[in-house]
Amino acid sequence: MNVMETDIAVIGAGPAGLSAAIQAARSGAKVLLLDENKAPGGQLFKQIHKFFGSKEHHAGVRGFNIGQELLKEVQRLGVTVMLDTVVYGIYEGLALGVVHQDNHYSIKAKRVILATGGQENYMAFPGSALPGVMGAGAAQTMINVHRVLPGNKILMIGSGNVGLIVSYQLMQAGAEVAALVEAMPQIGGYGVHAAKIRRAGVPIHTSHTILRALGEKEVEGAVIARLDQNMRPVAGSERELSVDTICLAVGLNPMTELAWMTGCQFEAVPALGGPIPLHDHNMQTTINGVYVAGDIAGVEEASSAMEEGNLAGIAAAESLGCLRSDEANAQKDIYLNRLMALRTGPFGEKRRLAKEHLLEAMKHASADRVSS
Amino acid sequence: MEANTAKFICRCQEITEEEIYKAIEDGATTIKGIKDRTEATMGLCQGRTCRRLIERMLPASGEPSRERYSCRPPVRTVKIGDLLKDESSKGEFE
Amino acid sequence: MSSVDAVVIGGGVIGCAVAYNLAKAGVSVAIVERDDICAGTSAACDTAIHLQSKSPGLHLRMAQESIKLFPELQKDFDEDIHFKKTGTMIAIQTREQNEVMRVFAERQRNNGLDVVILDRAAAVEKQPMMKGDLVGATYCTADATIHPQFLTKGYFQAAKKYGAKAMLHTNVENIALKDGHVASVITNRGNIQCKYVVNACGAYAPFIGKLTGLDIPIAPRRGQIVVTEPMPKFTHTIVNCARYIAAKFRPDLLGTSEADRMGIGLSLTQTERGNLLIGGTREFVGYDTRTTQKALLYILQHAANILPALKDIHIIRTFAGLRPFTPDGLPILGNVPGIEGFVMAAGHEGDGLALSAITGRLITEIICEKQSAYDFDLTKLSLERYKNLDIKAFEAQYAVYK
Repeated sequence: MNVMETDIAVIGAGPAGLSAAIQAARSGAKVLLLDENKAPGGQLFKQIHKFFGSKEHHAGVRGFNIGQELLKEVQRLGVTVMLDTVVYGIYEGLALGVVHQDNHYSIKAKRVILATGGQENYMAFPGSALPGVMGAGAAQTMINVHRVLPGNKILMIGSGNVGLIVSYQLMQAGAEVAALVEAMPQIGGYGVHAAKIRRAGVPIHTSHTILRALGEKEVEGAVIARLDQNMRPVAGSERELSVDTICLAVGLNPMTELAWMTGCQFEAVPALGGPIPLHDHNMQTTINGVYVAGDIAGVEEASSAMEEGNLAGIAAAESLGCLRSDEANAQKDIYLNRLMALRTGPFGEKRRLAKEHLLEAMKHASADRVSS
Repeated sequence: MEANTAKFICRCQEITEEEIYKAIEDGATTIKGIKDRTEATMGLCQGRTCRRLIERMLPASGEPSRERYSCRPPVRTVKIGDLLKDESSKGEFE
Repeated sequence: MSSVDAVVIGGGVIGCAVAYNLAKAGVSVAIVERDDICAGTSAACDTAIHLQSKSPGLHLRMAQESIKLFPELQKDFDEDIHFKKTGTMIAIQTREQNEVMRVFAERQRNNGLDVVILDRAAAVEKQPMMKGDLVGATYCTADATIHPQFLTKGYFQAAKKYGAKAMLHTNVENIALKDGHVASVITNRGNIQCKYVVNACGAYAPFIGKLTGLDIPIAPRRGQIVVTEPMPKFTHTIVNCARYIAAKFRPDLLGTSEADRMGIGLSLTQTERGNLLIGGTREFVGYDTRTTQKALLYILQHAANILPALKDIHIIRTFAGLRPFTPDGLPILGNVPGIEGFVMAAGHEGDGLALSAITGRLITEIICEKQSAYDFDLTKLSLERYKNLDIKAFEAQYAVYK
């Protein structure tokens, strides 16, 4: 086993991790960026759509271009990037158990920034274990990264932005989307995305759910039904659809396993995808030296993940003395303000409230903050 | 049960919704309680897929759930040969 | 206040086995458990039921009698407890170990345990995976495997079937005595009047002892285990190594390296689903159930040294359990002096599964004041045997409150 040391280890090279690594490296800290994938960028590289928002948030730029910009900066700053690298555990004293290119490492880090991202929610129904039932994110990777169609006739479960965007991209790639099904009475994602789907003639069934998948060895169809006000299927409303693929776009949850291992405190926040590590404005958890950024700190979007990454990178560098606190605070103000701007509007408001709840809970927890 | 009819909550271990409810009837109130009675969450993905679904099936007890997930290394499957590959690791013991 | 004859404290394999036997014998019994069944050691162990590791005498005989009971238990349980006679091979890695094992095996044979010693060629022929670093191996057909959680659940559900009351998530706050006799158990969910209290709290038994002023010399001994992905049948028996047994008789054979101090020794079993459970460590680190990177490395190094084919297999989890260690390696069972009705059933270290069946029987005989069906010398198991032990020195030596 090789033993290595670094100032700051950033786990996950998606938008949050790349941003954190850039900020920390700019301050002069020795930074190690680790990712289990063969390419950095996380979900950015399969996002071929243009981003919304202001110029600071890369509006009008497509996801994969943002990824390339961040990556260039990481390389220019001399961050050590270890790809195809599994951080399999965090042990006492912030020692990371790491396997990289068939070799085993123990990496002692003074600070750890967890930017592990989110993972797709699974949904169980009779037949949900049949081949042909998959996550919408997995389907997106197939069409946008590997250039293969997951199927020809698709039923999309969920009308959040992921369900809407992936449906559209599946159509662009040549598949037919038979329908979108949404359990809530209203569409979950942005109106602009939904309008594109509707213009293409795809029905979006709100207040509907999937009852079961049909097929012997693989998906050959699906039964959907209307839901009443108590979210129970209405008898007699069942409808059979002939599809060969069922995509689940029923939300993401934060990938928190490594955070649990550090012993940090959590709070269940449904609006942010599940149990979230408590954290302060610096993105530090209840364990000294352990920071979170991006979806692990609450499922939001790539834009907010980048800002949280910026904050965590600055704060971790500051705590090591690489930045004076007045310099750090001036920079943090910029990113905090940008985050506030992202958390406005009907969609952002819910997340802002959830995040404020977390900060409040953190205040009560910080009294018994312990070091790992 | 067959994949085309069963409602598997834990896909790795093929544990059905019915088996989870049976464990709850036996007194399970936590993920750990379900796990010990059914082997759910003990498969290759270690509960990453089904933990959320099971959590929603658990009875809402009067007391706030203080359960900590017992996440243990490794968070991804790791080959034993890779953990042992580096020759310098052979030093102390064998 | 509710009222039963006996309160069993602890919902692990021992507590559930005792409650099952009591309920079946017609004793009104309640299992009181602060968490859930299998919350501690009984779900943090491998699947082995070992006879071969036991010293000839009381320990071995209890295990031999216990193992006979499992087929009968299976008939009484709804759940499959996956009891299988698989046998064990113990890898012998040095000539010194070989000498110890030769003497040990002969003594075991004289006590009715069928153990043979194989040379390297014969060992590898019997167990082709075992072609690593070894000079020979023992082979014994009597050892078995069982599903730890399903065994505990089996006892628990059958106990309820015979009328036992289950009080899970119930914390024992005190034990009230009256005229030197157990009178009631005070919990956060009310008091339970009773004539008997069975302390079946394993590594946590000393805390229950303290409620009545008893010093119980049990120390938590951490065992770390590594779990692999499911595999087709890997070995046709349990595979152990001789390090630990040899060191019991020749402590000088144990080195002083970090791995030696952690008590690394091989124990490999395979579950019905095909997962290999690879152990393990024997560490005195207080009530710390974390796993460590060093242990992961040393456990796998040692295991792959004996079974090289392990290198191509993936691991999916590590875990650790606290074995209730006693100074002489024997459990503490039966009445305690001075407190009528307080019965011990703890301290089985790594033998909780194996000895659960016989423990349940013995404790029930004691509480029902029945003539024992066995001729065991129970004074060797009583808490009384430790009356001259300095508990503070014990706690310090074994880092109980590290």
